[in-house]
Amino acid sequence: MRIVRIRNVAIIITLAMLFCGLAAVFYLSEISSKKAIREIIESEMVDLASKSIVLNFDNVLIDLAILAGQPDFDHIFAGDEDAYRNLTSLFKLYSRKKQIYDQIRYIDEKGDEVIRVDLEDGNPVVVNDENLQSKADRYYFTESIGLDRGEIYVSPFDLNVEHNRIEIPFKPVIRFGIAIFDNNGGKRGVVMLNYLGERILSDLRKINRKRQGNATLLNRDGYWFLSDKPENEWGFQLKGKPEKRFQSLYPGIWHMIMSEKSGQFTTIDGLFTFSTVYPLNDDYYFWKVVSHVSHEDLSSGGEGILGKMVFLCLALALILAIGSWFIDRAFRHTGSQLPDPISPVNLFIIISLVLVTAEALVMLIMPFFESQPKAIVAFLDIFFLLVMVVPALYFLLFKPLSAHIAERKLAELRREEVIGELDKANLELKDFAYIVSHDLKAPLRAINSLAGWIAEDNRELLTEDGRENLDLLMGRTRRMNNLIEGILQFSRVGRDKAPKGYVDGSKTVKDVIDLLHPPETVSIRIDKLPRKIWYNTAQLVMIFQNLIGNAIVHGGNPDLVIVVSCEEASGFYRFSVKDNGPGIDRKHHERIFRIFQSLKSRDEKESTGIGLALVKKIVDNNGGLVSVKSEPGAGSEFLFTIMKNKSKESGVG
Amino acid sequence: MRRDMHIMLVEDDYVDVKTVQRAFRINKITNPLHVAGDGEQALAYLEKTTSGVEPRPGLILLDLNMPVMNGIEFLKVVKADDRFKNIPIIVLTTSKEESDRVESFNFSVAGYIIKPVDFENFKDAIKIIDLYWTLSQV
Repeated sequence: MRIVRIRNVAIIITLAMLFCGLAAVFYLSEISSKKAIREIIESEMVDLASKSIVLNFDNVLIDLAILAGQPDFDHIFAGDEDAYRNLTSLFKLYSRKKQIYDQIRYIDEKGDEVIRVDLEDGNPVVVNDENLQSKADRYYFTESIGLDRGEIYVSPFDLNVEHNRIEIPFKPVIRFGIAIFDNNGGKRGVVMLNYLGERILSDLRKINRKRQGNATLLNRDGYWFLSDKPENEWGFQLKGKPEKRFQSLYPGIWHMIMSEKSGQFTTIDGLFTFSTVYPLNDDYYFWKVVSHVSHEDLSSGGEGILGKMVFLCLALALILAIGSWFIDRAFRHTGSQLPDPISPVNLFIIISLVLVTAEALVMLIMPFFESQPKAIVAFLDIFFLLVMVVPALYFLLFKPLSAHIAERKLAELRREEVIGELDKANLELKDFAYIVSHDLKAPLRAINSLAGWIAEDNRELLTEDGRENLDLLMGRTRRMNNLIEGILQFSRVGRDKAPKGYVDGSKTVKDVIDLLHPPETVSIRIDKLPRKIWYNTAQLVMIFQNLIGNAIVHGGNPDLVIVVSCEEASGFYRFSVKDNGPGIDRKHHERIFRIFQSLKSRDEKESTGIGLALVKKIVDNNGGLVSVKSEPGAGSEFLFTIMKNKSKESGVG
Repeated sequence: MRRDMHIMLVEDDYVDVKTVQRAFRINKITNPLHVAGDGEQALAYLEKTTSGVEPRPGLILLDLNMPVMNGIEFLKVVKADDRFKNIPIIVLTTSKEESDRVESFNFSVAGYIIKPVDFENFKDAIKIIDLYWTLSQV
């Protein structure tokens, strides 16, 4: 039974593994579809980020072109004060309306600021003449004044520096410059726009927020303008250590980003999506928009599924366990054999388990090796299958199963052997009892006869003592004959088939009493007894013969009264043979039903000690119970039961 | 019982043979008694009667428990033989087995007597046989 239980556990584990495998496959496919969705979102987001940057630049360039193309410049060059005021108003208007220019300036060809509108807390402020400065030595001025018509200068994107210090809070700025020409084609200065780059960054942040994305913006050297970790931003100006550049974190990935204009790939570090931004349609001025989603984030949201899956698996395993326990119990209860463990169904389950497990394992490893040669995946696949799954299955299933089969076959053989031996032994015992008793009788009779003849033929020659001895000899042979008869009778109950029929209780008891010839002093009363008792007549006679006979023989009471009665209970009759004889001590109540147990010496009372044993055997064999109620001096009552229902008979009489 | 009728006793136990002889003597049954030790000897004797070498028995007293060929086997052969099947056979045995009795009567035995242990009873049993045969032969 223990083996069966191990096998059941193995089956439960197998099925649980099967469910877990299926759950894993479902989970992984869910994850991979989530990943696919994420990939699309990321591409779209990076694309959008790039476009928003270009759009922002375009707006600035349009503004720059409009401002630089103002006819007022010509009037200013001619010394028109109104034109100067008009242009200043226009600058103010742009500053207020656009809110994206830290400074809007006109600087003349010598490098002196002519008009300058600063944006302070969202309001345009025209800088007084006395506060205007010369910017002749600034790089942006020299770069811009050197431009030809149609050319634009765009500074690198960096943090604004005032008085050689990075302005706090950080003010990311891009300077746009364009040269101004007079009607004669002479260069008359530049228009400079200090574009607040924060606008670009906040647009990106907005996009990230909307898509729960993580698009970052980097310059061509791998420094971040915008990062998910603000401490990494502006690394080229802030000079922190270690150097905060993309390539120092993911050199390989940076290499791939730099070698392609846009793309998407998954590595061991997660999903990378990137795009190159050319805000000026210039191959040299470009930034990179890069988004990175780690594997944890990729599978995030999967925890919910995972939790559900784990719960589902546990629930299924529990149901299986309970189910198989009940099945096991049912099988054990009915004593049926469980189906052969190596059945096609079981093989199917095992094979599908192997496949599912292998698949799940491969799917589990795949994401980490996607960029690796497929051979490694295949190798790992086979490795897991051979090294882990197969031995696991072998130990879990086949070993206990084969052990169980072997053990069961052995047990069956052993059982058959034992049953065979037992049958043989029983048969031998019965034959032995019969043959021994039978063959003992012949010599006994011979001894008896011979002793009798000696006594008869030699009556005159024998002494008184000799005659007495011969009488004793014959008496003993008679006693021995009775014993043998008893044994024969006893062994016959249960050996022979005793055909049953309806027996009349009262008639049987009357016949028995006639047979026993009780002395005149004994009075026997028969109460109402059932007329139809389903029993073997001879056996019922034997029961009453022994019980009533015992009562008469052991009575020892001159006014002996014996009462035979019967009470009806549900399903059986309880017969009683009661006397007012000497009674039996309680300590002997069990012993009297055993064979050859007589409470009196044989010489004192001629009895075989078989009677009650025979009664018990007959009653037992017919599915009844025999008992005694007796106290010394209070008489004895022997009770036995007979089943009423003939269908409940035990078959063997 | 006509005193000239031969009786055959098929019995292997010598004391039992003596018991029968003694009971015959006491009951003044003077019929000639032929004893066969088992079924085969009995059959051999019967064969001899057909050629007139031995006188044909008018009654067979048959024990059941015997070596070589037991009583039931003997009955099977004799009752299937047209020459001998009308010889009356009385089973004289110690066996109280129901099956033995049923089988014996299936071979239409004339009687089935269980050997009493006491010689006194045995004597009576033989006396009754004699009496019965005397009446039935009349």
